[in-house]
Amino acid sequence: MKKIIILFCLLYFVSLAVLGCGKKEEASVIKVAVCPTSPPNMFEENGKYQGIDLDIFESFCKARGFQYKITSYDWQGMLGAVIGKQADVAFSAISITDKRKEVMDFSKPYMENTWNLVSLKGRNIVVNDLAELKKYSIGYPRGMAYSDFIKDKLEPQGVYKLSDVKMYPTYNEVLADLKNGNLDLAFLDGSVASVYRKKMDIQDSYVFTGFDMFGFAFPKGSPLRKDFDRYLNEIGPEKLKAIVDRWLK
Amino acid sequence: MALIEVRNLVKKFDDKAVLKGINIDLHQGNSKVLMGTSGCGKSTLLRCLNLLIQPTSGQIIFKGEDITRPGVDVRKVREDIGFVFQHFALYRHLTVEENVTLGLRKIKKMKSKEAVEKASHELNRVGMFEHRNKYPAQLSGGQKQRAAIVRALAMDPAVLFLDEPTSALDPQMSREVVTVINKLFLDNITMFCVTHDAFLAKYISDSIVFMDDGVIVAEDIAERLFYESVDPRIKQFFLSVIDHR
Amino acid sequence: MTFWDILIILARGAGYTILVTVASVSAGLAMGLFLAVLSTIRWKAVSFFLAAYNYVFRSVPALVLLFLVFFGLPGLGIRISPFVSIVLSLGLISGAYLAEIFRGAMAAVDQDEIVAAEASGMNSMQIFLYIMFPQMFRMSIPGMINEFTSVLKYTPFAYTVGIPEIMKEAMSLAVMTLRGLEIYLAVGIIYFIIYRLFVMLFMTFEKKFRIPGLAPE
Repeated sequence: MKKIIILFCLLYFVSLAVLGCGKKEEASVIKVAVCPTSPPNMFEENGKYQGIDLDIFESFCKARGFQYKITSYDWQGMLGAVIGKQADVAFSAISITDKRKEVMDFSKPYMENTWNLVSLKGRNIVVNDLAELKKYSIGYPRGMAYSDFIKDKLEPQGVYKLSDVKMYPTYNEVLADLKNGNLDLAFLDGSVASVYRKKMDIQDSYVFTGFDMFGFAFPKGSPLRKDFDRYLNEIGPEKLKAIVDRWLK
Repeated sequence: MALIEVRNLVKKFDDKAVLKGINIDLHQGNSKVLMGTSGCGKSTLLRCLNLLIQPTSGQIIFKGEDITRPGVDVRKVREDIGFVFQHFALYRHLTVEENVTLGLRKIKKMKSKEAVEKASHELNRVGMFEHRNKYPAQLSGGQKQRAAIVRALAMDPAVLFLDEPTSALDPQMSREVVTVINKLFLDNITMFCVTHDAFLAKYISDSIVFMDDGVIVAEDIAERLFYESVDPRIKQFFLSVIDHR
Repeated sequence: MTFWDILIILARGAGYTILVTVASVSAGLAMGLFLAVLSTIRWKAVSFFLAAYNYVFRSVPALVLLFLVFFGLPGLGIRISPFVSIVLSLGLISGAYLAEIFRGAMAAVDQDEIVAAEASGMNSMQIFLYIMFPQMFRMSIPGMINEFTSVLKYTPFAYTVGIPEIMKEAMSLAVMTLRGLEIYLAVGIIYFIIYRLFVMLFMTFEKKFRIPGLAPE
């Protein structure tokens, strides 16, 4: 009877949903969310994930005897995964911001970051006073912490409006527009800028320093965070800096 | 005892009565043809007999069993009644042979090999064996109807119902089909046929039943009904329908 | 790195793309069949449900639905894996479209044949299995191919929930090499190849099942 077909199809769908929900993975396998588009903190080369953040996390897992599994997302997917507890930890040069602290827990800062506004060397744009920014177009990947900074700090001072910013999917598109002249200034993390300076003729037009730090992101209330912070204390600041510097040469 | 006995059959669609109390019998080996003006209820009567249409009131006794009572196994009844349609109703996604064997395999639960043998035998009898692997779309009207007749007969039903079997065919194909049904008639297959084709009726009936406005007006052999009727309704009907040559 | 190297790297994601597409389409087929058969039942409640379903899943953008399922549901305590999230989302949406295709195909089956099957003593299940479904399926093939193509083009969204299909490989590679033009050209080529392969597969499939006189809608 028709009812049997209906039942069968419904069963198929329900089993699909249940299959999705009820996946019990071993408790000791840590689910990691990354967005491998932020060299040198997190990127992919020759089929392998690499980067500063991965090195730090790997040494943590080795020390504790943990296994981990990496899933890549786009930037906002990665943050969403850790907010929604689909992942146990996320890292890829994630800046610690107040807004983000509202929905996730950060580890202690492990690396200082600068925010660089870069431009093509050939155009020789140098910004001496923030008031000059109005003359230029600024762009960066969607979801980065620069948005809050512009909205909360620059806009009230009349330096730049968030609505004037050009948003892109990843650094690749930002730099492509920079190269073909559609964009004047690209907002890059300092570590990222150091990587691309080797591939493109870009220079720093203005650098914001002294307030941004990277942290490992955890779901709210995560016990793993406490353990990770303990680990960071154990290896101490010199060891940490050594790992970072290895990539920043 | 008759194979089919109909007692006071009434069928109303909403408030309109299409069958107003039909009494008719069909004995084994007998063949009756229902004729009448359009809308007289002849097709409705036929479809009530195998419960494709649910009667409003009255009794139908088939093989001694009252099939109008609640709880009757309708499908078992229908297995025993072969039905041939005006527009052939062959399953167009199946070949002729598959059309015939489908019922044998799925309803009579025959094994494939047996079913194919039986189908081949029956198709041969009507000269359709050579077309057994063709699809309905590749057949002429006459061939389609012959295939449909085989499909119904292969199930070895107690009675064969035919609803306007030649009405969708041109004269040549019509004759083709009349020849086939006539052979069945001569073989004493029990039949109930609805038609307005007087030529067909003459060659396949033991008696013709004339209906008008939901009631049976007369029943008689073909010759007498066609040419010697006194009733004006019957005279009027056959005047317009018979090819007077 | 030559263009060929780029193609090889991107092709790694192709397996996931195909997996997501096939899984989503089959979910859509199940859903579509379910809805089509449901539509033959004449209860008011059922008709209302069908209308609401159509309304919702034809108007909601696929990405929005995906985000609701993957990022939104955990807020209600329901956590669904990435793969099932995308398959469910695309399945629900393509189910709405496939239901229409199936309903049209069902209506195109000759009612006389159904009555003939009834008259021969078949029950509803048999009629559906042996008469309705074979015809309805054949007539739906062009529509199904169409829907498959649509779903294929939605698979890049799978990356937003962590499935490493072609777009993920493309983005990771682009960020490292900055050769966006070549990379996205290669992506287009790979999608084209997948599309062509599947169409050829379907066409041979359809040819095997083609019956003279039973033309697709």
